Amino acid sequence: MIIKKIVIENFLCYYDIKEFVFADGLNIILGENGEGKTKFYEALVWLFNGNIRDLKSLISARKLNELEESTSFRVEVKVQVEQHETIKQVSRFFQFEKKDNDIHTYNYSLEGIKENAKGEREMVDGNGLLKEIFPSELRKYSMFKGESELNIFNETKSLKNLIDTFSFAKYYNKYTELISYSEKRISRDIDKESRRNKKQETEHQRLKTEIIIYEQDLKRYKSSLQIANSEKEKSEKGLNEIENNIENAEEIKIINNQIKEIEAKIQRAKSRIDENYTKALLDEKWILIHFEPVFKEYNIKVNSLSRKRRKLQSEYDREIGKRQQRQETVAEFVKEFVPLPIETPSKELMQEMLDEEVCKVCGREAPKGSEAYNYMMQKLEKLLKSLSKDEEEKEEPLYKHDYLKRLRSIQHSQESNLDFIKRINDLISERYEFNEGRKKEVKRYEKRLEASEADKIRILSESNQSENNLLNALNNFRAFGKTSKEATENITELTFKIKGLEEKINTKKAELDKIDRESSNKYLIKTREVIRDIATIFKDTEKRKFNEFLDILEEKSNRIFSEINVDAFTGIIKFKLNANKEVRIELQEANGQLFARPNQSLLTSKYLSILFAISELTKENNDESFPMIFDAPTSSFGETKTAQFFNLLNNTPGQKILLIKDFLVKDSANNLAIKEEFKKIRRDKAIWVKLERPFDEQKLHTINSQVIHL
Amino acid sequence: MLKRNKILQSFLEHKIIEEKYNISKDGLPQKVFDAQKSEEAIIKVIALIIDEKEKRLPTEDKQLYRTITQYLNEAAI
Repeated sequence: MIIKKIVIENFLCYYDIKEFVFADGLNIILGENGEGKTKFYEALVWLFNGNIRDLKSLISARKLNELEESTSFRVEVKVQVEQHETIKQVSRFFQFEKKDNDIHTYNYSLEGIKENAKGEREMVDGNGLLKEIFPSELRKYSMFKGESELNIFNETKSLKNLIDTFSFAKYYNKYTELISYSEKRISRDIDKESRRNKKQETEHQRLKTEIIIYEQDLKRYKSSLQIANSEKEKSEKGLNEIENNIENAEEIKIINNQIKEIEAKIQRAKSRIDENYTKALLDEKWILIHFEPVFKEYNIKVNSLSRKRRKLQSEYDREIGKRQQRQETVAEFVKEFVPLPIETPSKELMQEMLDEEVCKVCGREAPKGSEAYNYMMQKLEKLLKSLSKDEEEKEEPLYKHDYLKRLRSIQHSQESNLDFIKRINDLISERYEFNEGRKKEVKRYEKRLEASEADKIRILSESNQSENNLLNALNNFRAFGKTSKEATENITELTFKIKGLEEKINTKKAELDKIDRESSNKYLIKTREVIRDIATIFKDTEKRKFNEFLDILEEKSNRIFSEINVDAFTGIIKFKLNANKEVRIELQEANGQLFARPNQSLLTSKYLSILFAISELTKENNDESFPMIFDAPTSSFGETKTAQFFNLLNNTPGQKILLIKDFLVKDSANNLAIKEEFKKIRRDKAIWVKLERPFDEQKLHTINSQVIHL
Repeated sequence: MLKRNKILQSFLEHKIIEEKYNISKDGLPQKVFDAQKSEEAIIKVIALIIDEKEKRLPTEDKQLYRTITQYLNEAAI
């Protein structure tokens, strides 16, 4: 089937009637974002799938704006195809009109027209014709919007459906169904015959029962084997994925520990930094740094005062010393006889005797200077001394208060203060140097931290996994390994049991066959043998055709895959059939290892390769191809790869319609233009959809997409 | 038509045909029409099944089973 023409009328940004005429082969529709590409795709989706809801929202805003009261127009999407030399046309449409200032839609319909070689046209059921020209199961693998939709093969079910839809193997399914039915029927007929023979009936029944029990066991074991295989596959897949990431996961763990350590070091270094220099400058008496000359003057004064004081004290002490010497001489004189009591005569009497120069004790004269006079004088002095002994002892010191001591104490304390003040400068320098050292240390650690963080980001981006996933992977590694080991042991055990059971069943069946041969009609036995052989042929052929399809699909996909990715690493696309008869697609390296981290461009080219391979196979098997329609399938490619891809597509059979935003450029006047490079792209048809200028980007009713056939 | 013959060929490629029924590859019919006239019961039955299954309105399995057994009975294998 080839799409010849698509007509869009008043659908969204397509105002009035717009025609897209296509060729067999590669058709490229160019269009900037927001200029009508995707609306074209949506028009096709609406035509094929239909949607009666919210029809008003599909009407061109520009047409609506022009709509006058009681006038009506049509929204329509029409496809004209050529299939088996017949022109077929399917059209989905509805009418709309303005009535009482409101918009009404009506006459929603899907219409089909067939036109034969003679040009005779015939109206047919639209739904039926749609299925005939482009069955929905084919559309599922032929129409894609964006790169993300290409990812339909990740589910094993989708892949199975795909193979069932496109593989030639599907034709064999009805044969295996028939032959399975025939096998059951002939066995039942032979059973009936055998049971007629009463002698053999008991044995026949016993064998049948045994076979049923064994078969039940076999079914159970096979089901367990299926589960074990699935578990093994899952855990091995998990292991495989983890294996690719295990080194990264371990590295991340090491880096995380390093980061933790570095952060602690940074914290410690920061906590040691004390930049409170103000405290040292003010609170620590820094302000007294200019006090030194004052203190020196103070010292001189204190020293001078001390000297003077000592001198005075010395003189004073000398005076005291003389006085003491005199006292000692008197004491020496008195020592020669027994003296009168010191208070006899009294002080007053003694003074009187001296004044009168007479000793009134002995009644002799004692003129001044005489021995008697001197004796009386000494006596008086001694008396006076004894009387004034206490007064003498209480004699005031030269200095009542020793201020010098205090001054000295201040001097000493200020000396140490001054020493400290002089050292403040050094202390601050030392502190500053220490702080600078710590800051450098912090910077060094921060650099290491930065490097570690960068390593971490690199590893995470390389592994294409989140940090949590990687760390979980590390934890799951052992669990997967354990599950895989257990599953393998289980599989070995179950396979052994299944083999044993199958042998037993075969033996029992052989015994049963023997009874059947002895008791049944030979014709029935022979018929069963032929049916059994045909069953083997049909079942094996279906399996073979399925595998052949996979091999061909794999070969074709890889050919296209390498052609899309010229001079680039691709890996190998592998279709893997597991024990549960599910098919999975893997991207492997040449050594058979799973290529776990393909980029988006590689993934997209993988999916496209498979889809184009399917398209080729469909044509080979059905003698008919179907168009493939992609909206922006190559966003991750870049223009060079896109160009290579288009040139490749141009060489592949079948019709392709691709909507892309590449090869457009804005010129100096901000007008859109097509790049020169597009001329080099080999294609069968190129169409450019662009908005009619000028338009108001804030007013939808000024929008109209033009269709320019290049 | 082409599909019918392709299916026949794929069935007759099976080793049972040669190994058990001693039918050499050279003597195998290429078309369903020819296979239906084969003297080998197994080839005839396979051709019969293909012919019935590839009809625009295929015969039901129950009916086809009867036809096969009846044919094999008549052919007195």
